[in-house]
Amino acid sequence: MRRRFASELAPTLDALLFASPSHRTKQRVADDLAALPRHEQDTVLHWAQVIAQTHPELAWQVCARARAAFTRPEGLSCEEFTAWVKAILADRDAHGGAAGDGVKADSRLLNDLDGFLRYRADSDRVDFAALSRRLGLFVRALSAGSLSVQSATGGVWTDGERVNLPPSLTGADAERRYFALAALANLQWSSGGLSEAVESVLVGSGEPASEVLDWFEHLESQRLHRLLARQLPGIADALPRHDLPPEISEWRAHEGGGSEGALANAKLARELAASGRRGPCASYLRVDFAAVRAGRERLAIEASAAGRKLPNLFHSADGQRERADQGGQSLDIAVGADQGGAAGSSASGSEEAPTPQLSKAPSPDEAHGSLQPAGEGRWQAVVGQAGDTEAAPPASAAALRYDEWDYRRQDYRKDWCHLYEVAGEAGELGWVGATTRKHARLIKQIRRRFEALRGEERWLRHQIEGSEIDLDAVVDALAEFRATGGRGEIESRLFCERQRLDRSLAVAFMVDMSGSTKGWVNDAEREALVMLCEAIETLGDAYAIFGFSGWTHRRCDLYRIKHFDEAYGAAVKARIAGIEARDYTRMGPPIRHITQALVKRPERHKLLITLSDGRPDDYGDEYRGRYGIEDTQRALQEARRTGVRSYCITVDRHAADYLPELYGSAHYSVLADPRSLPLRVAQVYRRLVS
Amino acid sequence: MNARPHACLTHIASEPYYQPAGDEIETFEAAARRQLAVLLKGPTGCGKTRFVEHMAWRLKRPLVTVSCHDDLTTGDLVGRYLILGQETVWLDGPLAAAVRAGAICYLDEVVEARKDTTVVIHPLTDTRRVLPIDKHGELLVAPEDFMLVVSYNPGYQSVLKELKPSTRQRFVALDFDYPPAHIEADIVASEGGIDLELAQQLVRLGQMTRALKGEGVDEGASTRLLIHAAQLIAEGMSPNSAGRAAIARALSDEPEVVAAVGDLVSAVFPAQ
Repeated sequence: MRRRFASELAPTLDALLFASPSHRTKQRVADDLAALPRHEQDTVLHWAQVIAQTHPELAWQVCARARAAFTRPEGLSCEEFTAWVKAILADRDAHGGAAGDGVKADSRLLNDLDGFLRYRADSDRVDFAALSRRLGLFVRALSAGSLSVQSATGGVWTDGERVNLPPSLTGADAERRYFALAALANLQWSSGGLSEAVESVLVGSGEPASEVLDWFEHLESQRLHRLLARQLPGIADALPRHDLPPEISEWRAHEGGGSEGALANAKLARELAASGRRGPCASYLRVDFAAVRAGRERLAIEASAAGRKLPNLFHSADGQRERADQGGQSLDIAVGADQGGAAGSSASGSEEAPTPQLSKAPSPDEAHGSLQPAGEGRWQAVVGQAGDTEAAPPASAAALRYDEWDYRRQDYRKDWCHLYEVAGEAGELGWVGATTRKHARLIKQIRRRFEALRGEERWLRHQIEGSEIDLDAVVDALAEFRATGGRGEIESRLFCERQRLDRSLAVAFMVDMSGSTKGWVNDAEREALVMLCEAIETLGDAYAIFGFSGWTHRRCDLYRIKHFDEAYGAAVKARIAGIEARDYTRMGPPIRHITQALVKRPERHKLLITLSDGRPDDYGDEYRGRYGIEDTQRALQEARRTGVRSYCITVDRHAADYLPELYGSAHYSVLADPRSLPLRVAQVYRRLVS
Repeated sequence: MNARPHACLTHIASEPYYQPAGDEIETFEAAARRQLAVLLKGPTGCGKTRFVEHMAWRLKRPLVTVSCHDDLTTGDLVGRYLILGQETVWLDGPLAAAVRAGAICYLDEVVEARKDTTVVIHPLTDTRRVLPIDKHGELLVAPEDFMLVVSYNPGYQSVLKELKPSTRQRFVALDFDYPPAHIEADIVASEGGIDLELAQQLVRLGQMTRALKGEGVDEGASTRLLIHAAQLIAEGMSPNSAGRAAIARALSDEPEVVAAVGDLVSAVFPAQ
């Protein structure tokens, strides 16, 4: 086919790029493209069209670079061009950019085609990003759910919560090496290689010298590798064996599987370092005790806040226990631990392309911090300490009073909680639209799955009329007629009819708007709601959405995002966008209030689903810990008595400590990563209601 | 009345293999002596059905098994008239047959049955111990040996499928779960016909997949799946391919999850 002339291209480009905010003339681009062969023109126009649907400005940028790309001296195939465009789009998606922004972030990939092609040509390389889900599941399975993975530079190491793996590996067998390294890090944690006892042997007094750590890392790599070969023989061979230098073979590394092996190696490492020998050359794993300590402290503080017995781990060293004991009262400790942990646990992207979304990741404290009211919560706490703990009620709504369970009294505090139900504030109008575009593919998938669910039909038998004869009913009727000698009345319901299953389900969502959700948890919650609305609209279930927050029993706020009878329209979308992190998590009153709303519904099945990021909590020490847990548990029991089932979806890693008590073992889901909330919430809903 | 034994009655002649993990056998026997109905709770493939077969053998009673589904009507359980030539013949349903024969009637996955169907078991599960057959104008009184056993899987989580309290509170309940590792390895070795060391590796693999519950798989690999893998190995397949066929692909349709479970299989059993 002949190539298109500029005069033919210009109107097409105009139509495609009309939404582009750029004022530059499109004529020049048309002239550029006119010089390309037809198949290249077609490729460019195709992708311009695809990109322009979501990112008009980006479509323009790509068109403007197309000629230079295709006419580079080394040449460029249409496949390479397509891969390049896809990479740019993926990068944009990862940045979460709505239409119009993020041009700067794209410019690296846009302007570095050569770099991209070199990167692509490196066929030996395996990227963490391509394996992250599989590696995550792998490590989760090996560690019985306690470890997750992330990509970070600086070697392979774990802090007991995450395994840090390099952003990419090259060379033969790179993929299997990823799995082997992840398994090794899991073994390091589970076999006691990072315990306090080991640390104290290494440290002696003061910080461990770097030679000691080097030797320890080397010896441990050997020990763990051998252990791996025994336990998971299928992947241990992906890593070459590191042998000790022959001149020190008389000091053999300990190969034992338990903590005694790590302890022996710690002693050996000190001896080797003291003997002045030169450090070893290679080890698979790094050891970062500061990060491990920070992780332990977080755990201790959270455990102490819940008034729970600490795991035995913490009773071995008195200093550790003291810190943990103070944790419950002192916010300083929490903040200190946060800073300490920042080095070890803040997520970071690959070195070449740090993505804003990743660098936004909060420390685990922030994501799960029942102790750390972010934003307004923290500011109010300071005011509160000045002597005024009374929260001013909003002027617009009348207070509803709810009882609260006081476990110490074993009785209710009558009318103790003041609940204000107000309409949620409207947020940015375009936000839901941008989210829908961002997750367009996912939403399509969700709709298809839920349509299948809705389409569940069944035969209603024994009908007076229907599309087909119910043979069983006819035989039954005839048989009965004969058996009774024709005396009885003959059965008239002899037909069957296909009918949609009447689901008769009302669902209320209760969304945590406490201060600790500030940042990505809040974003994830809002995005999850958009997915849910899309899903449930497909199903046709009645649903309502409420946000809750509060500050003491005098001020429990319930933000109405969507009523059962309200359509999922612009007003609801704006209110979803307007959900923001506010104060605290007093869960009892909103549960009681929403239960009442559910009870009034005519549907047969009633379901209350909570999206949250942590345990019940409120300003002051009272609601935190056992009081809050018991009151929430009581509120959920009350709900259950009135026929309302409850379910909780949380991103709190420590949820397994208290959620089984609250919701029952089968009635909650813990998501390891808040960012997976939008993806997973529809799946959970589907499982719940099918 | 037809005097032939009902087709759904099975008499278990030889001992079905069962490895107890707690006091379930004693509890079941005590419930049987006192004519109490039993509810078995537990995930799929952990041995509930096998346990009932074993107990039927132990108590020397016939067994009737009904797999419940949402189209199961009262008539399917109790019985109906059939036309045979010019005559009408009453045919007992499995439940009525079990009552008549003094058998153990096992309703598998009882929550799947329609709510109105579940109600027919009510008069059988209290002190009355009767089964009214309206159509036939008969009130069947259960003999001493009749016993009702139902099972369900509380892990399925659907709010539309739960036992009503009025049904639930008629049963002595037994909790089932995957057995402890050493017992499970014995079971897999014995049922699958492989050596114990290989069985232990399969069990370790199974336990790893159970940590993935909720993360892409609804439930981890059941003991039954592990036995399937073992049987494939006993047939000469390599452990790696057997694990992928019987475990990885059976657990999920999601490509990444299948791949991740495959990674676990390859970590435990080297690919050849």
